[in-house]
Amino acid sequence: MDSSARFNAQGRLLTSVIAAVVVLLLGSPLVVLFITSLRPPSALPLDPGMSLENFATIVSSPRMVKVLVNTAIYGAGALFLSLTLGAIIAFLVERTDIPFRSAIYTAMLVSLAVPTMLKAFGWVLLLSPGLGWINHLLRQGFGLEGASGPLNIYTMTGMIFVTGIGLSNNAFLMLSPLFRQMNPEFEEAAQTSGSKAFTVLRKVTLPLLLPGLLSAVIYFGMVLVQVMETALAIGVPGGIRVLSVHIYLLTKAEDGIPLYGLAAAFGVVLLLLALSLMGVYFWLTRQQDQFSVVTGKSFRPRQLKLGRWKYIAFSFVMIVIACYAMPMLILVWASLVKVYQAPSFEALSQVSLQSYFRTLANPLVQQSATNTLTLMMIAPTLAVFIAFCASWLSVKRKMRWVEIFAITPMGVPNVVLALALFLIYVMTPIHGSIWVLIIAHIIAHLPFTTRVLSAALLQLHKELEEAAHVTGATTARTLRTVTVPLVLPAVVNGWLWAFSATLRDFTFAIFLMTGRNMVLPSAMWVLWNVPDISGTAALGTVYMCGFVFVTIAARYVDQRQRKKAGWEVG
Amino acid sequence: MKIDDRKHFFAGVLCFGILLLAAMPALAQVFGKTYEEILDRAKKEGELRLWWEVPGERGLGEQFEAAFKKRFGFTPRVSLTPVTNPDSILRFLTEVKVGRVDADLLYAGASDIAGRPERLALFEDIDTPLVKIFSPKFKGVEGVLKNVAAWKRPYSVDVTTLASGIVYNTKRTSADQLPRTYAEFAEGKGFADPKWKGNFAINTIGPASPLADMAIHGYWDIEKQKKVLQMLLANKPLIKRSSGDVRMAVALGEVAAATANIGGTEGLRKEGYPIQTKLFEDVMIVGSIGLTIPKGAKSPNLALLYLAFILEDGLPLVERINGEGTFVDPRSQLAKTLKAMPTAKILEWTPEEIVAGQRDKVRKALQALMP
Repeated sequence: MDSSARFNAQGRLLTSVIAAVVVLLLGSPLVVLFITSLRPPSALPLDPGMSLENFATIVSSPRMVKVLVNTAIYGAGALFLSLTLGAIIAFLVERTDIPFRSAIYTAMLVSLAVPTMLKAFGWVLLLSPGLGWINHLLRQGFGLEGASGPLNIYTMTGMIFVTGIGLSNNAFLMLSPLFRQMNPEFEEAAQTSGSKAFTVLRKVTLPLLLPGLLSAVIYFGMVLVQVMETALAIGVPGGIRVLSVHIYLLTKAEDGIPLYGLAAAFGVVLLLLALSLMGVYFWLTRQQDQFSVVTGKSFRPRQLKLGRWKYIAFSFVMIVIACYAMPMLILVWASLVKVYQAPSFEALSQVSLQSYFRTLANPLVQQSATNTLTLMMIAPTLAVFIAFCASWLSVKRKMRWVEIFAITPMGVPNVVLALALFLIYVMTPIHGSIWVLIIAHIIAHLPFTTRVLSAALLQLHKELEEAAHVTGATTARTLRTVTVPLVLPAVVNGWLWAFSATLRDFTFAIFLMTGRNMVLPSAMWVLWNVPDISGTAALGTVYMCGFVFVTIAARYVDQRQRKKAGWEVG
Repeated sequence: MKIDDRKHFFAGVLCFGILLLAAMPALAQVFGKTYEEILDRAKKEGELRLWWEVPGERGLGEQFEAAFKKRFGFTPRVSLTPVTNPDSILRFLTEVKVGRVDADLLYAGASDIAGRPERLALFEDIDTPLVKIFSPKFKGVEGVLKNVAAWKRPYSVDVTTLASGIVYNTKRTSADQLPRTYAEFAEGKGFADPKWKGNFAINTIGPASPLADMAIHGYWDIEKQKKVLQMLLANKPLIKRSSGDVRMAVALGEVAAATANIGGTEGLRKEGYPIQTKLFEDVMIVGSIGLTIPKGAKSPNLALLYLAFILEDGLPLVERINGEGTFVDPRSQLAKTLKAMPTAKILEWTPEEIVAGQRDKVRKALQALMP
């Protein structure tokens, strides 16, 4: 068998196996989602009967227009803020000589560790009209009268600000590999031919970044339709209801049976929306070779010298990082005082580490920590592995349906996905074990990791793999020695993102929780409901520290790889 | 009837009787016949799969363990699944459909079980052994059982009463500033008064608990409830997603007061938060959640023993740590408070009202008014 035939046979086998795994993993929850959406409204899951009543309820709901308008404003605002901040900082870190680039990168990642629910709570402690520390300082500083204001977090602006800031580090993570892998030859060629900087940006840089940017816009657009914790903690108190919260509240009736059928019907609608957006994306990027910027020729990403703008750029980044840090720092403060009170010199006498000792000695927390370690090691790794396979099939084997399939969970709210997984795995021994959580996280994180990796693979020219095949390398060897090393930054970013998302998730941890599979987020939820504010904050702080450690380790791997590739390390 | 028909009839009755007799020991064997037998079987069963929602109480697990050992002389392995009501019953009912019973002792709202024969059939009769075997031996068990409503028995015993009232921050307001009755709300007073504007909280779920439940037994009609809710919403409340979050907002001083279920405030108060509760003088809305033993439980005797232990020793222990307890327990603070409020009307949804869809109808109508 010659090398070409061998390559084809191996490729077909690999392709079939990967496609089968993706279909099996993702297909079953989607089928269950459809079936659940067609159940009569009052029926329990697994009850017989079919009805379109849930869809009729969605269409006829009198508040739906208001909810959709709120969702559109919220989504557009937060999308703009998060992508703008993420893109600017990614550009500064990857393509300029801004100082402390490595530290900035790490700081951008660290805030991913804090569960969104706690971050939102942190912002409430800072900017609530009656309680917020910043409001308290402003009132004192400017001699304002009254016991509340002047700032109010419980507004649409507050929601957009908190969500936009919260997602900007995700956007950074998604966009930084694009900037990093961009071959500067194209820009240099344009400049040599006399184009001005703005023209180069408009005609060369932005078009080359188009697939990645579109990918980010679509991904974050869908995430923003679903993201719930901030809207729940900040929007609901202010009387602003968005779609995700609307769905969540349908599944969380305080009395009576939750309306899962209706929630699943919303899931189906969102899924169709996600698929439509993906159709648009694939149509826009149908000629993928024009976006390949990493070719067989070696290149060194060029750094733009900022000159005196360096300090302005650095100050801007520091302000953004301060916005990440503030809710975390107030949580650290909350973990150090038994009874929460605004930070002050007088309150310093109350500071102790008691809540840390108490929380870490809790058997529930200890048991959960063991499960969490298992979950954290397996779920992100498998998610990235499957995402890489799906992206590779899509980009290099032109099997775009695999990628579409891998990103379909993006349209399904986590709470609905959790219900679907519960209904599938309740019939198997996996139910109640840590494996059901692992599967849930793999499915939930596939869309992001697939988007990150397919964007990176799009930038690799096919000549690289072809060259390896011509020299007789097998498909596996080509992947191992050529493709994976070149997209390693994206792999590391994808893994870190999946890791942090797994760490932050509360929905799966709570919905699929049993006595055997409790993880730290479920333990945190239990503490929160006690309520043990200082204990929850202490656990959140420990989380943060653990994540800093993992981030630094991942950064080390990433930088070593970049050094190996001869790229400049910041 | 012909002779042959009679023969067949009697033969049929005989066979049925024999089968019934054969099945009796098996049926009776779920629980031991005596206290000693239950205790002996419980020790052999060894592990209890408990679905309950109070695991996070500081040191509660250890205190339960020590008290159980002191009472029964052994320590069972308790595998706890923290669940909230009504998720617990939904999950349990779904699991049962595929033949899985992962709970020995289940925390669930009696009102979501009673009134539906197909659900009742999934649970053991716990009343008989508790009354016959445990009540004579344990006065606490006897005292609680006496007060459990007939419609909850024989399948469920209340362990939690969600009683609605006012929670308030003692640094931001005082008891004499607070509304005294629900009736005041309907007159545009209470939290509908402009002096409370933006300084009180309500709960989104339910949707504005406890107002959503004023329709119990037709106490208020829907129109009156809608009017009151509209007045409250016009007064700019902070809307929190659950009673727990409402209590947190009050404890932290984000608002001065709120309507909420009052359980859990004791824990915050003991931590040092300036939070207090006050009940309305005219009405007390309650929701009860009980413990049940599912058919097919792996450790039914241990579950029964543990339930008896909770009624005898556990409820006072939970209350000592966490608050008001359940009103069916005469030792609880809630029961004592109720005794001191003889004119207060206690409202609780009955299974008949729930099955007839009255609760859902009211909630839907009020939910439509929420922002």
